[in-house]
Amino acid sequence: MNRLESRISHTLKEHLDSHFPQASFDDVWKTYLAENSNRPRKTVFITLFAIVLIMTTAFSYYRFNWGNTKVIVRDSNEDLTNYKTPLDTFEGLTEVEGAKTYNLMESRKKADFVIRQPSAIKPWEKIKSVGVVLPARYKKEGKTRIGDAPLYYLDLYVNPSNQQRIVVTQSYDASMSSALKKKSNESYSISYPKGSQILNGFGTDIAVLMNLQKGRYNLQIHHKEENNNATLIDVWGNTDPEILEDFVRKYLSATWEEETPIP
Amino acid sequence: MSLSKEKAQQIYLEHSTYIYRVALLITKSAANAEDIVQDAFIQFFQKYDTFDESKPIKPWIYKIALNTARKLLRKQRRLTLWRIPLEQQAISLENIVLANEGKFELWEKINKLGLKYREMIVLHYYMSFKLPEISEILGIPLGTCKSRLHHALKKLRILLPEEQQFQYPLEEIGGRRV
Repeated sequence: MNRLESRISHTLKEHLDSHFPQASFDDVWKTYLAENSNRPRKTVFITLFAIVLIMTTAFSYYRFNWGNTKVIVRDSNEDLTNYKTPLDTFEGLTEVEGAKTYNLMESRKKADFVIRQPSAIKPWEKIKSVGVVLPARYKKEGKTRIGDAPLYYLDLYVNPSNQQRIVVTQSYDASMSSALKKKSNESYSISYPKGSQILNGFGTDIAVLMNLQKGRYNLQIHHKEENNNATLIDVWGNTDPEILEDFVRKYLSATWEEETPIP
Repeated sequence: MSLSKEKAQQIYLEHSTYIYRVALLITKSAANAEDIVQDAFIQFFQKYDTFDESKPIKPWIYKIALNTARKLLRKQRRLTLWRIPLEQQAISLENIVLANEGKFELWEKINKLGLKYREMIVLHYYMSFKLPEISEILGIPLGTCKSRLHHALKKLRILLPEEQQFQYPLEEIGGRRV
């Protein structure tokens, strides 16, 4: 071991040896036993589910073409209960240190995608809209610097009768825009959480409904624009998925308000 | 081959702390490292009946742990944007590093290496795994392992100021520094 290797070894030891996990063996063992006792039931459920899928779309490894691009959708099993969505962070996003906010007109000038603003979607009431550019870290010449993330435009809707919330985010769909420009012999892959469904009836758009657990759903629309770029319209709600889907259909078919002042 | 609670406890006590530390370096987050330890051991217990007893257990546990870490990082990359307020509150290894900037130059440089290089560095220089073992843990050819380690060291040499690379004690180089 040369001098550098010896120093690496020493440095790692010096910095890592003082850290210990908090979870006790009993905590982990109890979780294991609880999960293990559910396994046979899960297996039955998965088997039945798989049979249904094979008869319908076989979503566990789903391929389809979008434009000239072959999209491969894999089924990945993930625990999403701890994830924060814009439903949880809408108010906090504009408070993030270094975040820049824009109204609709400013956002439209700055964005490299079409920002849609539909007129009323009953019974939903639009509470707030804002364009946000968050700070992003990037590396240049080996140094970490802070720059601007792409602009996102967000709308917060609330149903006055039950206080359910829906947040719509619009952004430039960089991945899908690249995918649309790929050659016919190239493929592009994207993965969605387990149980995600591709919804029909959205024309040439891809519409994916994801269960984010804890009663939250995300309906993601990859919308192909006339210039062969894609816009990502993400709709997040703590509603039933049917209500979310209904909202999205109304949202997409609504008349656009071109220059409505922001509340 | 069934796993008794006593056997599981013995394995947990023997390996959990080191898996936590490896996960801490790889994810730079105490919360993530904690999740990885728990998820990896639950998976390990579930898969134990498929374990070949003629083989050493340690590389297998680390293989599960590193796969768990990679999966977690992939998942977080996809949803990073919406977690910013949460992440800002999190106690991360990066914060610890920044707090000690200057004093721990090499530590900081190791943390700035890409994931695949950090994996190599921590497995080889902290866990003392041999390259064939790392090859098995990471599921990559031995040649790729050697190449990654070589590049990781090369990157560290480039990143470190010259005086730190060659900062030998005077008695070792046998005289005054030129």
